[in-house]
Amino acid sequence: MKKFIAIICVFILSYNLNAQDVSSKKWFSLGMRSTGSIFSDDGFGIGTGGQFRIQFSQRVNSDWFADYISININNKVKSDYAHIGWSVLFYPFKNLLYPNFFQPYILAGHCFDYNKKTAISFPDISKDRWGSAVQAGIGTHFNITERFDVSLTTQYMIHLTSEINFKEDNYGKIEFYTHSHSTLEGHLLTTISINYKIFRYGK
Amino acid sequence: MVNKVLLLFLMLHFSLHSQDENTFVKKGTIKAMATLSPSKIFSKNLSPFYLHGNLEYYLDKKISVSGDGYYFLGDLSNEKSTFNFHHSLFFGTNFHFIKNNNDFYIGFQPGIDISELYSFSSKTLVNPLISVNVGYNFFVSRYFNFFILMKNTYGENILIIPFNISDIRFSAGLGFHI
Repeated sequence: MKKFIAIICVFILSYNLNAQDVSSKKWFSLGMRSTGSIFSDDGFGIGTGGQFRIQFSQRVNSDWFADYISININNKVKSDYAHIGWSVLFYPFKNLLYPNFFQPYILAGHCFDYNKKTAISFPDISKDRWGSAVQAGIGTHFNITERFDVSLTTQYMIHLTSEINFKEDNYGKIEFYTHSHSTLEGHLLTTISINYKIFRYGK
Repeated sequence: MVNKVLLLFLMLHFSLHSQDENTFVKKGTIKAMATLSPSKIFSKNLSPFYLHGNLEYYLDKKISVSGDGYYFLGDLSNEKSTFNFHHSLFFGTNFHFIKNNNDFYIGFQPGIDISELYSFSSKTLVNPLISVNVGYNFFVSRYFNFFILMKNTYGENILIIPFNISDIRFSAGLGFHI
């Protein structure tokens, strides 16, 4: 029994020592992002936005983002998306901080999204909706300096809400409608972001 | 003539002074400038020009955060302008290669375009932009620098008249830093 308690004590002690080391890696970062969006139905669009990161430990980080994406659907409809949400980044490989150039991660998270579709030739005809989405993917930091990194992320985002669709009549008039149920449609987002570690927090 | 002599004297003073120190850039340096910036939109053969303002903060000697605003002033092409206005805003980071007073840099700035088309004056259009900077600063004194910047933007106006608004912009002139 004493041996067992001793092992537990050693384990807790080593965990605490390790935790102190880990806690020293907590950074608050700020950055900007550009996103390319590939939709199954809508086509390709680009977006712009920003994010901040709060690092929880050496292996776990979080990304709090907002972006605005604009898509041209066959020169008929403009689809604007606004996302605001967060992702958790997990670094599967230990000790890949700067000066290592590559720091890969997997990420998953949730966001709120707003979509507005507008008829390109008749901007007064539009329809919008609020919704929710989940996303997951992979990425890597390119550590340029100790505090500065460029990050490349590819993730798939699934909208948990009814999508807005449109139909065109014989005279070219666009009419929007929504499905009566959620369709689990989504888009593949590829994001390049630049980030700077502003300050450490915690002990 | 007197002005030219004074100008030459000032430039000589600045260049001599510049040899005293390796660089005027350090952590916390703030740089600002305003200049006229011509551009070329190849998809429509347009040549808008802007009042370009920039504010930059050096986080260290290699990295700076930079905000740029382009205020549309007109179009230099012979064709009737497509825009009533075509402003844009950018914010991002530049990565610097500094040697002595020379500061070569490349940068990345997401941004937005705020436009109004000539034929539809009541509708303001907002489109996302991606941009890449390539530039060079020459620090001539404690407070002044000469700069040249080429910015390549990528974006598309989607509403009303869809067309590619990607362009190349040039800026050059005198900048200030503290």
